[in-house]
Amino acid sequence: MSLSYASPTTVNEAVALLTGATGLTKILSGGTDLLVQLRSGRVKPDIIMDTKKIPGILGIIETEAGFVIGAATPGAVIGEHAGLAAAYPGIVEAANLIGSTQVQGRASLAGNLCNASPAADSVPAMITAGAIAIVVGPNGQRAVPVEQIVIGPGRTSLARGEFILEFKLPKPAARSSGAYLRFIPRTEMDIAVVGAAVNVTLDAAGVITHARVSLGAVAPTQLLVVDGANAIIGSKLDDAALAKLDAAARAVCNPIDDKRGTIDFRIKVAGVLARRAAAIAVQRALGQAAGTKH
Amino acid sequence: MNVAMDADSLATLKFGIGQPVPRKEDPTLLQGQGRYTDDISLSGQLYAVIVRSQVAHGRILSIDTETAAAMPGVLGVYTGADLVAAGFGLMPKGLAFKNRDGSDMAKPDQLPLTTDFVRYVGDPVAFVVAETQMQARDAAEAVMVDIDPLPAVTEPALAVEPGAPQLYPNVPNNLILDYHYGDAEGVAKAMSAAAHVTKLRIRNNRIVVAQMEPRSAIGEYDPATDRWTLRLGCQGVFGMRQMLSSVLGAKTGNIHVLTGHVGGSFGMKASLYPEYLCALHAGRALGKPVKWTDERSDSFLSDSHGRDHDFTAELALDEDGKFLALRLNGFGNVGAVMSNSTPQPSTLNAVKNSIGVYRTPLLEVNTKIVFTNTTPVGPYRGAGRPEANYYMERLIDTAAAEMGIDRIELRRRNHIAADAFPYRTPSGNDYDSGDFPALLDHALALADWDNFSTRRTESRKRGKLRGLGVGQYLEVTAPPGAEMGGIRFEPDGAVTIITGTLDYGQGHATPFAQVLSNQLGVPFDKIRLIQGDSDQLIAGGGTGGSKSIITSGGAIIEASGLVIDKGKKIAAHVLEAAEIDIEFSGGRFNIAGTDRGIGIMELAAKLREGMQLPPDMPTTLDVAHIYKGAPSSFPNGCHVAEVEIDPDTGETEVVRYSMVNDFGVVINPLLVEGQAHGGIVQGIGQALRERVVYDEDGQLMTGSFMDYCLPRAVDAPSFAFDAHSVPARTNLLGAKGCGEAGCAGALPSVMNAVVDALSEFGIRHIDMPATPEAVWAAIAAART
Ligand SMILES: Cc1cc2nc3c(=O)[nH]c(=O)nc-3n(C[C@H](O)[C@H](O)[C@H](O)COP(=O)(O)OP(=O)(O)OC[C@H]3O[C@@H](n4cnc5c(N)ncnc54)[C@H](O)[C@@H]3O)c2cc1C
Repeated sequence: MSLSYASPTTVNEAVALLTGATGLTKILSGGTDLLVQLRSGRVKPDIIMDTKKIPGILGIIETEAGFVIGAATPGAVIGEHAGLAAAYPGIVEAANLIGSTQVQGRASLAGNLCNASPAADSVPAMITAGAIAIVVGPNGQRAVPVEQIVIGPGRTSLARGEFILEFKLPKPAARSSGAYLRFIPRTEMDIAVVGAAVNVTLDAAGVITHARVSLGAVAPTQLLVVDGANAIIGSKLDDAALAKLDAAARAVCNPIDDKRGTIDFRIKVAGVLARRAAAIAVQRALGQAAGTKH
Repeated sequence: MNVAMDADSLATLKFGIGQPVPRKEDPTLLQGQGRYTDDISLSGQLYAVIVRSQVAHGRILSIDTETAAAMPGVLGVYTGADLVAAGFGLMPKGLAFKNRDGSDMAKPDQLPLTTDFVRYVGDPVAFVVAETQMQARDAAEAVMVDIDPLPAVTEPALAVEPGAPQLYPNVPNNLILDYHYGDAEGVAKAMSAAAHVTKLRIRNNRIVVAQMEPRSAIGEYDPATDRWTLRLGCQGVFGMRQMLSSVLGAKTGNIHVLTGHVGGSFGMKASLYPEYLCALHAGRALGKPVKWTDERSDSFLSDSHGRDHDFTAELALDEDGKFLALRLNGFGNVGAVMSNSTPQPSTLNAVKNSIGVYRTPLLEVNTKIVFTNTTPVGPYRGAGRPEANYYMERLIDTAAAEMGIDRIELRRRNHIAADAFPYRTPSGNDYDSGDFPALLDHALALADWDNFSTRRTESRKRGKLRGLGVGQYLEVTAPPGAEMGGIRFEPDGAVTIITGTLDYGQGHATPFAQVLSNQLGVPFDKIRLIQGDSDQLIAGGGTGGSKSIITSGGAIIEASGLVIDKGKKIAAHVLEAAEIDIEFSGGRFNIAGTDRGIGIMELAAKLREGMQLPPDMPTTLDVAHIYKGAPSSFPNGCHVAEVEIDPDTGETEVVRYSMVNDFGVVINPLLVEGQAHGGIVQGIGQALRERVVYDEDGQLMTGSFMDYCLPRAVDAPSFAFDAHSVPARTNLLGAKGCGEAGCAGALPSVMNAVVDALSEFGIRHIDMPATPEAVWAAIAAART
């Protein structure tokens, strides 16, 4: 068995390579998931296709319309982008929770998403931000909401020959912000037992006019919790709204029972984190400084 | 040289006893220049990989080594049968204890590699030697071990039940030892007559050692001299050589054990492990050095684990809260194979350490020491001492809550008074010194105990529960053992200390040099330490039981006296004076009442250069002395932990930690404080995060750091550290061992703080580890 490595320099070249290849082809961004899986023998690809030589796939562009984040942009670069941090603090804090300083130098949003772990940290934050994945493939480009990419543990909706080129985020409306919180048995370098992200937009009076809520690690895929958003839209996040959000979050959970956390515990903590993330998001939207740590 | 203070004696001030001298080895280690066993590569060296059982219990039907043996680079594949054929004997049988009926404890015969049954996941059954590590690894996977699985048992309480799976044919009910200590009748009477009895079932969680350096060994044999050489990380080469001698059937003179830097051990590397014998066997069979280094995932399976007791603890009190009797009934799970400390931690060390600093007239300990299909349990930082202190301190807080007495007041009512020494405990120890009431007061002041309620109110505003706990411990350090005190004046002007304790991270070279410098005025930077070469030792008890400074320090002091005796004779000759007129001070031999004299280093130099000496005169200052050792010391202290708990998630954070310790005379406060920090963080780990879990088939569920939650630096607060020293009266330095004390203070103080924070829900006890899930579940259960 031989393993070959390719690093195409254009999208077309990459798509041609993916479409024409026989055997298993794996796309390489930062490699912090892929290389670990390779070394442990969990994946045995025939070809590894490194995307990082494709123009635009590394780096962040800020335009009038919003942000374009290259699919393979590492966490460290995301963390240093002041514009993105101001507009989407939830995504930035989630991306920066991944691994350690070393891992941050490589780990990307596309890798985090396409590895399709239910516990991937940046995914709930991207979902609540309304991030759109720009998928390229043999039939050209398509724009896919992030919540439609993952369809099960380790499985994505990408077709053969397709990969993610970049993520698009709109410029947020006034008085909008977000937050991401995760619960882990220790304080860093761990897999989330529960993750919760919330994005909100407020009106001038501080009433929530728009919200998105997403949970990670409590079901086979990250969940967009529409009932949770509805529970707080129209409120100023008073106790009653928080209680409804808590209940809505718990209601959608379908977690596993494992040594990292029992079903009861995960469900309970999902409600708690949803509440707390909502509170931080609202505070941020109100322009108040809030710490990034929970 | 007629100066009163020469450079030598100035050095003794800066490096004197009580000075915070940084560790001699730090520059070497920090630059990555340490020489751990795996850093050594000998010419022609081969690599061994161990094949381990993947099932917890079963009969070995066959081991097919043929495919593996034919693979590229493979030079040998060996099984237990090969070791037997090569004349390797049984593994050492360790400590001898008696059953309650006076009979001897069970000691099954154990081969280095099992040939008939496997008894735990990780049990070594074969090993492969190849030219490279990768070749050996690949071939190890090709060794076909056919095992007929048997039911497994992992819990001691189940293992002694009739019908439980049996690990050894001659150990009925898996019961190794039915241990009993104490006045059962007296205790029973006291319990039934007492105004109050507090009873707790306490699980002392099993943990992995998680030392940084995996075990590693290089085995060699030289047919020309009939000598074995083993390089490895251990806790004492002299004792290791003794153990090897019994298995190899070789005289100790034909065995050479060498240890370089050791990256942590905590008791675990003290035992003789099968892998070392495999490396030696292959080294002889193949005529080349054979290296074996564990991988972390194998360390989880094959390094001895720590703790794992299951006790019901009872404390009887009179109506005033005076302690009347303490009883411990329970189990010690020792895994599937004996280690070198089986069964001490949950038996003798429970007896010696459980009453701690409290007057407790009656004591009874009953422990069933039981084999289970789990990784062997060995000594781990304290080896029963922190566990015993933990039982007592948890009982006291619980009794205080049940009787409505303030927990500090309850301790004060029962302290052994400062003027009660020597104090004979019901375990037969004679405490020589201490000031337990003052130590408690000192610790409470340091912890700002009185203003806790302000801090609690502040936490509550943030939705957090806050708890405060004390752990006042006393440990009985290791009993006396012979130790070498060697001093050698080297040709290059250095002075070598030779002693058989062994540093595996503690920093022995520095305090030992401070002691020598203090005794002989030898310049600190000229002093070296030899500890890891068995050919250089005439005695050596190794490191363990927090005794190194007491034994090696004592050995250095006595040996220094002998150096001075020799030096006086020679100096008298050099100075043309009578021996009786020579005095030694500040590193110089002087003629009393004059300013004439000679420094010890100068005298050594003259001897080196060759001097005409009368025939009956010693020709060197060198000394090889055996010190008979000093009695156990009684380090003690009071630790105060403060925790904050998030009631919604159960997350617990240690937010403040204060401690006051009595380590007697402290040679090097910097290293002593470091020992306390390390022990406390391990204690916090055991209390809040760490736990080894097996499933019902005996598979290890927590076999990597992904599933085994080791604490990190961020999990520890800054420590407030103070000393309240009362010098020990029973050893030459006045020191009390400090190495294991951190755990002893941390387990009870942290858990008492956790229970204090949860007390508003009516929670009186929660077992370690108080993980977020466990705390949350306890709160949830209390609320319904
Ligand atoms: C020590 C350590 C700690 C970690 N901690 C965390 C953590 O705290 N939280 C967390 O969520 N994760 C964590 N991870 C996992 C990992 O770092 C993240 O999932 C990371 O975001 C993966 O990004 P990557 O660029 O390295 O992906 P890669 O390893 O390059 O790829 C991951 C997967 O995505 C596919 N892929 C990559 N790029 C694309 C693309 N452009 N289009 C389509 N498919 C693609 C790959 O084929 C592969 O299947 C950790 C990993 C390590 C080693």
